[in-house]
Amino acid sequence: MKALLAFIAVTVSFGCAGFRVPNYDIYRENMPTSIVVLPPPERTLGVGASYEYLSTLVRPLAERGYYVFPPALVASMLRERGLPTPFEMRRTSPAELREIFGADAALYVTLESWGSHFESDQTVTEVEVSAQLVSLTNGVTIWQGGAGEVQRSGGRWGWTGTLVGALVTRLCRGPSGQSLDLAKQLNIEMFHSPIRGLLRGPLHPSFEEL
Amino acid sequence: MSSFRFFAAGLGMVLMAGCSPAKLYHWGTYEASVLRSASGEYALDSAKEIATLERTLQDAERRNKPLPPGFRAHLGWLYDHAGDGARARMLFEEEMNNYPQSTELMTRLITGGAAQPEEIGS
Repeated sequence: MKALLAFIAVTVSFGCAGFRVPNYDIYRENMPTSIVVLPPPERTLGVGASYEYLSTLVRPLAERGYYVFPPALVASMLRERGLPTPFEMRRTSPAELREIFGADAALYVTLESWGSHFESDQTVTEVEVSAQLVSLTNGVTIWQGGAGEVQRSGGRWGWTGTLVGALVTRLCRGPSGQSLDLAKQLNIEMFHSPIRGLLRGPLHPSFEEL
Repeated sequence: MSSFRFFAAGLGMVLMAGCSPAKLYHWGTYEASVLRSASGEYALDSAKEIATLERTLQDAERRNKPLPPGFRAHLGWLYDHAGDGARARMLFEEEMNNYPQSTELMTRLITGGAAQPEEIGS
């Protein structure tokens, strides 16, 4: 009986942990208006993947009500300052980022996986990302989130269909089109989630002063 | 039965439209341009790049929808690279007027912070 109760307690507490609503007090206290977005450190996935993912971030952040500094211009300015790769850009301190761009917050993103490959008769696209919003006035993390998905497509028409399908997909969307599409979906999930997403920013028509 | 199905599909579409957030900005080719230019690794056809963005700018004006934050600064940066400093400065100023959050950076760019080392002519 005791064991059963303990089991139930553990199960319930796990359930609660999974759906715990994050605490938004620090976020509200440090509500940013402008966000500078840095490309994710390339690690094993390559610089190409890093900049591709970067390009998907402007829209969900801006549509959530924030001023987003133009990412290509930001990256170019950091390169001119002697930081040739995203890995090195990531090491810029919050104080420096504030000084260079005059931004209220920085979004640091990490790419865990990115890209498509063929597995028997399917195209498997795998994207996993996480993000952290840091206030540049005091260096405090005000929000964090993550999302990931493995998507399989094709496989219904046998291997000839797959080959043709893969070729058509490749021609239509380029080699990374599927990762980009999936990333855009995941960004919406991560940033616009009503439970754990970003709060509506000051540029949003329904921004609530709190 | 089929009319019910049709109705259900219609209802579903209406509900989905209700759920998807209304767009605040006219995006046009901005994201695609960021994708092409962010890495700085590919030789960019700046004339073509500028032309597609100018079209987006006109589309936004015609539809009376605001351009997204950073758009004009991005376009100005491309003009700067292409050697048209005057148009670049104009766009940096417009960015600043539309989005005061960019004032610090735009002022820096206007006063020559991002001047190209290999400035042609003038």
